[in-house]
Order: sequence, then structure tokens, then C-alpha cells
Amino acid sequence: MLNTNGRIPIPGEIIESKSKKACITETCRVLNVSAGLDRIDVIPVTPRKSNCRYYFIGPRTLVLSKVVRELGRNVLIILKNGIIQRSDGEASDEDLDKKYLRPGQEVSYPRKERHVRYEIIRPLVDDQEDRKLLFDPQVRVEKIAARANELTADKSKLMQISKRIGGLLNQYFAGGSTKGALTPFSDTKGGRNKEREQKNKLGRSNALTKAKQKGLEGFVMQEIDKKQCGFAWRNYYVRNSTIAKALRRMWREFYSDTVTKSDGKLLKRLYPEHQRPTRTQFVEWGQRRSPGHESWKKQFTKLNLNRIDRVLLGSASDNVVAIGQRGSTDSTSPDIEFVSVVNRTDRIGPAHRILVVDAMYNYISGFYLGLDAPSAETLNLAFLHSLTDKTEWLKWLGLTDQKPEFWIPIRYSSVLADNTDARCEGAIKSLDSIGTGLKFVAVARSDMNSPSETSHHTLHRMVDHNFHGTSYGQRLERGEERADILARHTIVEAIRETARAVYTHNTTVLDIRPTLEMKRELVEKGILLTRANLTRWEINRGNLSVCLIGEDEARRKLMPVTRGTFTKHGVKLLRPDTGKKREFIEPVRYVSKHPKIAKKFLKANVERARVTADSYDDEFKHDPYKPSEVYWRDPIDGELIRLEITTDDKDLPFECTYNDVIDMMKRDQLYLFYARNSKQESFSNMEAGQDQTKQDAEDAYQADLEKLDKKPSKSSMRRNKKKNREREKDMYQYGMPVQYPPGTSETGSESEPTDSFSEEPAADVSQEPPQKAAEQEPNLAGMSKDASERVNASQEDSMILQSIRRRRQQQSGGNHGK
Amino acid sequence: MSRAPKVTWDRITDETALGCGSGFGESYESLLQIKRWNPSPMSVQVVKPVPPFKRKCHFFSLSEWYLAILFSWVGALIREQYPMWNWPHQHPHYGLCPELDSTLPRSNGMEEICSDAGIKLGTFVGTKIPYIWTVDLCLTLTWIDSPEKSCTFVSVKPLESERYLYIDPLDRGPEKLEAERLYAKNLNITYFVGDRSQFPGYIFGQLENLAECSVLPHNHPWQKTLQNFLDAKGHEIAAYPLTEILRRLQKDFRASLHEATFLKNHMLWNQILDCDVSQPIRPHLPAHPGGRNLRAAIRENLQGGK
Repeated sequence: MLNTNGRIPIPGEIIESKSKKACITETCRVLNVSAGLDRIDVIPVTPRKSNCRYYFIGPRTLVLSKVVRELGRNVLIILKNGIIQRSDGEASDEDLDKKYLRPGQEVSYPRKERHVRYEIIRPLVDDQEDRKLLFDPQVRVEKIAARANELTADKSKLMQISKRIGGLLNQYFAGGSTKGALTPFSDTKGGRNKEREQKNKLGRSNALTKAKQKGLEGFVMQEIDKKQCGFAWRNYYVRNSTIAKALRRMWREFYSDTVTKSDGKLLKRLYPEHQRPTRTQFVEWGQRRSPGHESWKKQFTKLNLNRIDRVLLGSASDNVVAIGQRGSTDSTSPDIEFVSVVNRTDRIGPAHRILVVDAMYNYISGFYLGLDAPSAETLNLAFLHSLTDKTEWLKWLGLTDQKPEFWIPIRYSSVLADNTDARCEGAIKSLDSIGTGLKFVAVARSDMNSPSETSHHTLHRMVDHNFHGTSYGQRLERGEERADILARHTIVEAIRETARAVYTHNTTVLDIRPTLEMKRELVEKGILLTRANLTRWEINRGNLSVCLIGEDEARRKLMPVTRGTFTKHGVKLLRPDTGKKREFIEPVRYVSKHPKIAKKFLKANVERARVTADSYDDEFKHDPYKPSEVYWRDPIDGELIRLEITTDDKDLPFECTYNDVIDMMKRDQLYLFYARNSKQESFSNMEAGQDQTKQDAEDAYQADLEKLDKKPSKSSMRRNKKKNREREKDMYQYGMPVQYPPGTSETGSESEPTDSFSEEPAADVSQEPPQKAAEQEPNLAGMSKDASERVNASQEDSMILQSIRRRRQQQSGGNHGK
Repeated sequence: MSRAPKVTWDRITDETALGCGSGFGESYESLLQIKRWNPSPMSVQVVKPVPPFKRKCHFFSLSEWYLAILFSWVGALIREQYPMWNWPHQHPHYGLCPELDSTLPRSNGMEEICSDAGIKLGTFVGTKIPYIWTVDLCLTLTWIDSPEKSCTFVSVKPLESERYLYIDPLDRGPEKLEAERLYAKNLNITYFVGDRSQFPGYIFGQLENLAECSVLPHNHPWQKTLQNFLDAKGHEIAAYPLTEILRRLQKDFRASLHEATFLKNHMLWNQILDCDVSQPIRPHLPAHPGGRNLRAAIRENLQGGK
């Protein structure tokens, strides 16, 4: 509509009335405007109807100033787009023929009639200047009379022809002063779209009629029958039923009598065949009276019918005008089996992957890949990944060749998800906290969440199917090697390769037809049409739905929480899998030079009295798949402080997840058990030797004591201590007992080697049974180091001597023999 | 998928006592909420706040969400899944303006309305407890002072689907619409049946995008940038291409890209810059005027004509 503000209308415009009190009460066409005379000629455009005949009333002359005033008050308005013309009025001669030509006719009636009508009034309307005179009622009558006289000489028909000319002129002016306006209203004639009331049976005769039997011609459908057919079609012809069954049921319900059989039971007896609808009638009228219940839809389930039939306004990315306006998320399992990072022969099965995709260009802004099943926690990690800068993350993965600026952080206004991982209170709540709404597609309608679904397929092809241990997303066939047997890769390797594939996906040139804007602003400047470039371009031109939030805020809201303890060595995390039992994740600890953290460490070091074990426990934010850092939130000012990992294992932060670290701890426990056992055994052996030494010394002492006549007093024992010490010292060298070579006595007399077997210690060793020798070993272990070395050395030497003697004997024996 | 909790009188009493289905604005809590146990076989369900509130709203179809955004844009306050209690109760705007509460009509309750109309009320599945019907959207038209006249009910239905194109007399859907209409009539509330297919698709996509920037608190630092920008350039921004607005905000007012984008979208949502959102917004051209007229026309429709 146009706000005319009281301007003078232009001939041809349409004026509509908004009030019954206005000077024009119906929609009129402006024919002539004369500002000088303050008059305006208008004609109503809506035809009147009388006895099925349409006609138009003549022009009216009004005061222009009044019309303009009412236009200014919006009592009258000018229709900006005019009115919709009759289709026949705008149709060409050929179009009319196409529509109305009957067999045997060369020219259709409307075309012919239109031509005739125009020829009648043509002399009056051909001249533009003369035409204006027709709006003057007096001149109009004269001109019409003159034209009537031209057309007929029969005086009796003059009145009739004049009336006809007047009517045609009205129609001509009301229809916009075109020849087409004179087209007759043929489209309203006849029974178009009306159902004919059936009086006789239609179609071919049935067998009985052909056999000349009267009164059995077939069923004539009345209105009630048609309605019943429609009802039966809608309600009886349903899934898992057939047309025949539905027809028979309709017959039973509506075209039968209930009779009582001789046994008292009721029976429905159908009417004779000519008194009920035939199958053809049922199908015809059933469908005609049940729009939307076409036969082809009947055998589909409601769900499948919705999938293929319900008109959905476009795709999942329709009406998306900005980056971040609509995301898409979904989880899948990568088609690949994994192995443990500790020992690659240990299979750990498949993992889970969650993608976060922007619907505008299918840009993958973040993902999660790990062993944990889809849940609020893992979904949060995926969204955290989408929200945060990836520079550090790429360094952690060792992907230094990737440009971090192509990893564009995106926060989403809303996200499409199916009814699995994201449909839980935890996910709804945490995503709401970052301003992301959720849109859950209908059940079993993953096709409505297409951005993430197609991205799943892309990553399956780009990553999963190219590595060891893939199942190719297919069932195992007989004779094929199982995927888990072929598994070689760890989770961190999979994360690294997924990152590589996502980067490729986002930075690959797209084979799309660029829009004019893309051509102007990207292609002509030599910028490649990649998902990353397009996304960045849209953001730069202000098509961003929601601003990013701070990374700290994102971590606070999305990162999983784990418990840990401040110790003097740093923060140690507590294992989450041990219940109430407090057990640290030992191989790693986290430190920071932040003054608040340093203060905590100091406090944990010095204030250990009168505190419980959990006094220094706190909550830490961490990414279980990136053990290189944790975050602590100061509850007072909310500051999020980063703590970095410290560990002796240099590879651990880059190759392990927290699950791997805990798994390593479990394995290490077994090793530590055996190590502890071995240690105890060693100590036990040592102490047994000490006991023996003590016993031997005591025995020797007692023997020496018995040699004395009188037991010495305690003072006498201590009396010559210095002298004894000097004597002992003389026997020693450098204060140490002198080590004598084998075969010599401790007093210095060297025993001569003999050929005969000696009964001295060497003979004892060789002659002792091995069992006894073994029994003596603990004793050796129990001696002092020097003593045991001495004994060992003498034993070895005596064995060497024995072997030399044996060889000499053999040599001499051999010579005698020769 | 978890199971729906069993409906009992105690549960209904508890939930109503907790405020489900009552309150205004930020404190309103929807009677029906999207949970893990109630996915739809037909519709896309949406959990997201509608401006100007931050509370989670629960829409059981995409059309409901889109229409809520549209009505929010024209200035109406939304209460979704508003209950039409079975028992006699107060007008939906009871308590909005306490001094006028006594002038508001009372409803006889849905049970009586249904029985008068010969419509079966129905029960919660597996129980004999009468079902509590809800209307999809209950709007508060903030530009109307009278609490009685400022209430409008909108029932959102897929009007282009066969269910509503060809009304089956035995179908429950149209019957429920009739009951809703009678309920609204009983309280002298304007009632509509709406569907997103009646509007051009662009309007929803663009409003959905702009909705995130609808509210800029008075004490927010960006408010100053906006005021400075409007003071300096307000008289000529209608002639600027939208990208030029971004550029000037960044260059002349030292706004970051995100800040400039937010402020531009904020001006478009609030029609500080008259922009017809029913047509594609083209960044390299000035905004096409007509948004204010469109908003006025929708307002007029919502209040049931002039």
C-alpha cells in the first residue's frame, strides 16, 4: 500500500475505500482527472451479477478536492500494485483458443465475441481525446446514439444496441481501457469444478444388463455414498490392509443388513451387488473425497511418510545467514580399532568422535576424539575445542606445519543435534551457560542434521579408512582379518591424524560455483575459496551471529572437573577411578610460578600439623586428552590459573591421555609388587647371614673362653685393650687385615703344593656335596664383605689348583701309557 | 531413552507449587519442558532463550521457535507452553498489574469449556487424571497498557500439512484448536493459529541471527561506543552500506570486529537502523528500509487489528 498523503491520483490508478462514509464506497479506477474543474471521473471495477450475467455500472464524477482530502486522511487509499486482472482479460487470442476452442470450431467463442465487441465500440474509443468526452454523461448519450445509428437501420433495435454499447463501454473502462477487458466471462459458465449429480449408472454395462435383465444396471452414487467411500478410504484402507479388504469392510459397515441366524448369532448380509458401490467407484470417490490420502502413501509407516512426504522448507542449512548462527553436532565411532600407548600389543577397541560443524560452509570448528562414550562431558570438550585458540594444541600434537589462523574459533547461537548425546540435562545446561541453544531433530531423522553427518563420512574416508586397524565401516566378512588384529595406532595418533584431516577439509579449495560477491571480493583478489577462507570472509564482513567468549570463561564452563591436592612438590591429581580411596596420579604433577599457587604450595609444605589428608584438596579443570596442563580457579576473584605438567617421562605429556597414565599406573603396580618382594628377599638373606656370623663369633668366643681356667672379669677384659689393639695392628696392613694368598696360613707359613689330595679347606669344598655347598652360601652372604671375598677367592684358587693337579696326573698317566 | 515420569496428582501439585506454568518474564517456567524422555517423532525441538530473557525456553517445534523470535522482535514477551488449567482460574495476566487485577475476567477452566463444547478433554496416558492443555505461545503485548487486551494466544500448527489443509472431522488436532479458541474467547483474549510458512523464510533466518545481539545492557562498555557512533553518524547511517558501518565503527570508534558486528546487529534488531528483515540483508548495500513498518503491521495483527 502507498501512503498517498493526499496527492492527486493519476488516471488508471485504483482507489480503495477504507470507510463506508467515504465519497467512494467501492474499489474504483480513475478515468479522468481535471484539476482545473476540480472533478475526477472514476468507475467501479467490480462487476455486478444479475441472473448469471455480469455487467458493469457507468462512470461517476466526483469532486477532486474531496477525494484528495480523503486520500490524505487515509479514508481512501491508492493501491500501489493495482488489482489482479481476469486471466481471460489478459489472454491473447491464441490463449483463448487453446482454452475454449471446441471441436469443429475454427475460432473460439470468447475470442470471436471479444473481437465483435471491440469492433462495436472502436470508433468511440480509438481517439484518445474523443474518449474523454464519453465521461460527460450528456455527450456520452449522444455519441452512443450516433454509433447505434451507424450499426443498424432498424429503429426498433436502436434502444437495445445503445444499451449494449453503453454496457460495453463500461466494461471497457472498468477493465483498464484495453481490448482484453471486453472478453466475455466464459470462465464462469458451465459446471466447472462442480460435481454432476449422477442420475444414471456411468460406464460400461454390467453382465446382468448385457443379459437384458432389468433393474440391475449398477449402483448410482449419491452424495452420502461418496462421503462413505471417502470415510472408508481414509480409515479402512490403512497400512497392512488392501483396497479389497477396505471395500469389503465398507460394504459390511454401510451396505449390509444385520440378520439373525437360526443359532441366534448375528450376521451381516451384504446388499445385492447393484445396490452397493463397486470397487471402481470406491477407489474413485474414496480418493476424490480424501485429499492427502493418496493410494501410494498408504503402505508407508507414519515415520517414513514424514521423511518423504512432509514438506520441509529446505535443508538443515537453509536461512543461515551468518557464521555461528547454526552449528551441528553429532557423535560417531571412528571405523578404526586402537592399541594401548603402553604396549601396542594390547588392544583397547574403538573410540568415539564428536564433531562440531558450522552449517554455513560445513566448516569443522572443533572435535573430540577419545575413549569416553558420548556424554555431556565429552560434548563440552568438543565445544571447548571449537571455542578456543588452537595454537598451543597444535604444538602439543606436533603439527607445527599447520597455520593456527585457519583454525577459527566459533561460538554457536544454536546447534542441531539428534536425540542421543546432547539430549541430556547436563549438556543442555552447560551449553546454555555459553549461550548456545539446542535444536533436537525428530527421532530417527538424522538426515535433518546433515552438516555433521556428512562431515562424519568425510572424516571416515579421510582418516579412518587409511590407517591400520580400520573396519572400513563394514561388517566383517568370513575370511577377512579382524580390525582389532590389525590395530596399530594409539588414541593420540588418531587425534593427530584427525586434526590433520580436519585442517585439510577446512583448507581445501571447494569446487563450488562462486557467487558474484565471492567473485568480487575473493576470487578477483586471488583468495582461494576454501571453507576457512569463506568463514573468515563472512566474519570480517559482519556476518557473525555471536561473539566469542573469553577462553578462560569457556574453560570454566566447559572443562571437566577433577580433584587434586596441593603438595610441596606441586599439584597432584587424585585418581577418579578409586572411589573414596585417595590415590595420586603419580607420574605427573603440575606447577606454576603464579604467586597464588606458590603460596598454596608453601602452605601445603609447612602447615601439615593438625590437618586432615584432604585439607589441601581442590578442584581442577582439565582436558583428559591433553595431560600437559590443568587449571585452577581462584574462588575469590575467579581467576583461572594454568599449571603446567612436570614429569620425568618426557614422552608422556605428548603421547598419553589421562586414561593412559592411569593404565600405566596399574601396570606399574604389578612391577612394583615384584620389585618390593625381591627387595625383601634380599634383606632377609642378608640378615640370615648376619645371624650366622654372630653365632659363629659367639661360638668361637665361647671356645676361647673355655680354654681359660677362669672366666676373666669384666675389668680384666678391658684392661689390655690398648695393648691388644697394638698387637692386632701389627698383624694388619694399613689397619686392614692382610689378605693371604690361597694355600697359605694366616700366620704367614706358606704350604707347599703337593700332588696328593689335601684335606685342607680346598678339599672340603670339592668333596662337599653340592647341596651342602648351597647351604653354605647364605653364610657367605652373611659375612663381612672382606671376609666373604677372601673365602670366595680362596675357594676359587683351590679349585684352580685341583684342576691343575688333575691335568698333571692325566699327563703323567698318559705318558706312562705311551 | 529414559521413561517419562508417572503423572500423579502429587506430582502436578508439586510442580504447580514450584511455579511451573506461572510467572512473568524471566521468572516464568514452562509447564512442559524438553527432557530426555520426550523427543518428537515429527518436529524439531528447540531449547533456547528468546530475547529479552535469559531463561531457557522450550519450544516443541521449529515453527514455535521462529514465531516466538518474530513476536519478540516486534516487542511481545513470550511465555511458551502456557497452561490452560482445568479448574476455574485467573486470567493469564493476573498479577501483571496488581491494581487492575480485579478488572480481569476469570476462566471457568478447560474442563467446563470442553464439556460445554462436547469435546473430550482426555487424560494423561495411563492415568485417569484429566490432561492439562497448553497453548503454544502466550504473548504479552507490551505496547498495550490494558492487561486484558495485551494478552494474545498463538497456537502454532503446520497449516500447510494435509492434516490442516483437509480437515478430518474425526481428527483430534482441529478439535483441540477449537477448544483453545473457546478458552481464549471465554477470557476475551485474541487468539491466532500461526505457522512459519505464512512468512518469508528470510525473516526467520535473519532474526535468528540478530536475536543474539538484541540486548545491550545500559552499563555495558559497548553502550558508550554505540552512543558515540549514533551521535556522530546517526543521521547518515541509513545511507551507509552495512560493511561501511562496520568499517567506521572499527576505524573511527576503535571497536573490535566482534564489537562492531554486535553493534551493527543490535541496531538492526532494534530498528535503530530501519531495515526490512523480510528481505535478504546484503552487507555491501545500505539497509533496505521497511522494517519499522513491518513491525508496526505485525503489531497491529497481533492485537487483532486496529
